[in-house]
Amino acid sequence: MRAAPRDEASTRRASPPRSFFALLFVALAAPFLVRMAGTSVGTYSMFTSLRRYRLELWADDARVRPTSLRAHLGRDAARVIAVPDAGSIGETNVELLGADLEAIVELVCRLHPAARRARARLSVAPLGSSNAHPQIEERSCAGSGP
Amino acid sequence: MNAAANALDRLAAAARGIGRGEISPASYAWIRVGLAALFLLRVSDVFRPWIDWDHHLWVEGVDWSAATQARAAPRLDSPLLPGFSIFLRAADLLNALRIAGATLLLVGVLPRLCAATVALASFALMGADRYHYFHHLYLLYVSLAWLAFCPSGDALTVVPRTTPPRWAPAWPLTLLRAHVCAVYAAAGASKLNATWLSGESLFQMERAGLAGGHLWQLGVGVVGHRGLGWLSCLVELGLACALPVARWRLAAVGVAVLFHAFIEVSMMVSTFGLTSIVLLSAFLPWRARDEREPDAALSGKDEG
Repeated sequence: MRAAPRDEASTRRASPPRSFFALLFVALAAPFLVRMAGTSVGTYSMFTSLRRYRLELWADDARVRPTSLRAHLGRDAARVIAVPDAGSIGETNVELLGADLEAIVELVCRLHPAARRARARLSVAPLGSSNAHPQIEERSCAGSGP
Repeated sequence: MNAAANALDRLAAAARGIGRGEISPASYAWIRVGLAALFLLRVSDVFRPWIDWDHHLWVEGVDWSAATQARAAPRLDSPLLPGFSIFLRAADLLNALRIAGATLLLVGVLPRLCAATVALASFALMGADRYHYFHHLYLLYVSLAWLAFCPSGDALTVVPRTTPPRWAPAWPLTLLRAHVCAVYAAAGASKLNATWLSGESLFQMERAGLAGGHLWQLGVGVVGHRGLGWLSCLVELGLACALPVARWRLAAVGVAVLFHAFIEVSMMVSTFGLTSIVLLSAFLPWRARDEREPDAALSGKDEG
């Protein structure tokens, strides 16, 4: 008899809510769903796609050193973008940088208002390989004044 | 046919039991304290004089303070998620909110609200700046988001309780466990490629100075880069399979702790290993009871 009042509340507490299986699916599937979406963000794929990269920038035909952008970048962006000419090593951040060339070229345009065109070239190669795949972004600077 | 039907019945019964029952509130409290402490350690370099952390190499002061922002206009606008740049305007507020939230979380004040606040503010800031993405931060933020479902304020708290509850629902712990298993499964699955399994990735990491140390050299000497590649992949996939099985759970936790300790001393992973170890405490043999068991406090039996 003593145990009888137990506990409707406790039984309720012990039963998961209706949304439990939906939440369980999210917990289990999230890293695989983002991987299927074609990104390594959120996939916990540490160290599996390390690459050496090099970012080169031009305003018209004049080289713009990535380090010269430092004051215009946040700390974390500077760590990835404002690296020496020899380039650096990265993984997910290289993927994110590759998808950000348009914004970087836009920044070069705004910093060089006299330039007619700006260009970025990102060369990416797997560690230990010299077979770099360049990715190029170029745009007209018209109307990009500071 | 009967055997198949019995197996299906057992499977269905097991599925119905997922997430049911109750667990010691201490299980959540330790995870809460661990994640909050790691968060506070990671967002600044205040412990630089005493602890040598990986993130001290690139973090000075506090994340999102004025010193970490672009100093001059025009500034590069590179959100990770479209439209999230707007949160940069409130970076100071969001950062203050998440640090205050993590401090309250550490001492057990409004833990669900605080965990949700810290996770949401952190995701807003990560979404506002793609270059703030790191796997170890993402793991920490996602873990805090799952912690927001957990009743983690019933133990290890400064909030006085006249009668602290003896039991907490087990389903949030099931979600945390699923999250941990998914992390190991995803990390292991990403290594299922020829470059990794040949040992080439690890060899190149070593050449680039991204992996090394006495234990690393010992491992390479014993099984080679190829062996380390296979081992790391098999350990992660094995943990994803073994951790959900009650009889293998404790052994799996032991293997996982050794695995993270090896990585911690051999590579730069910042808080990833410690966050994983905190989360592994979800698999410890906390006292638990089935919902059909009588309440020990009422029946006079100690659940021990």
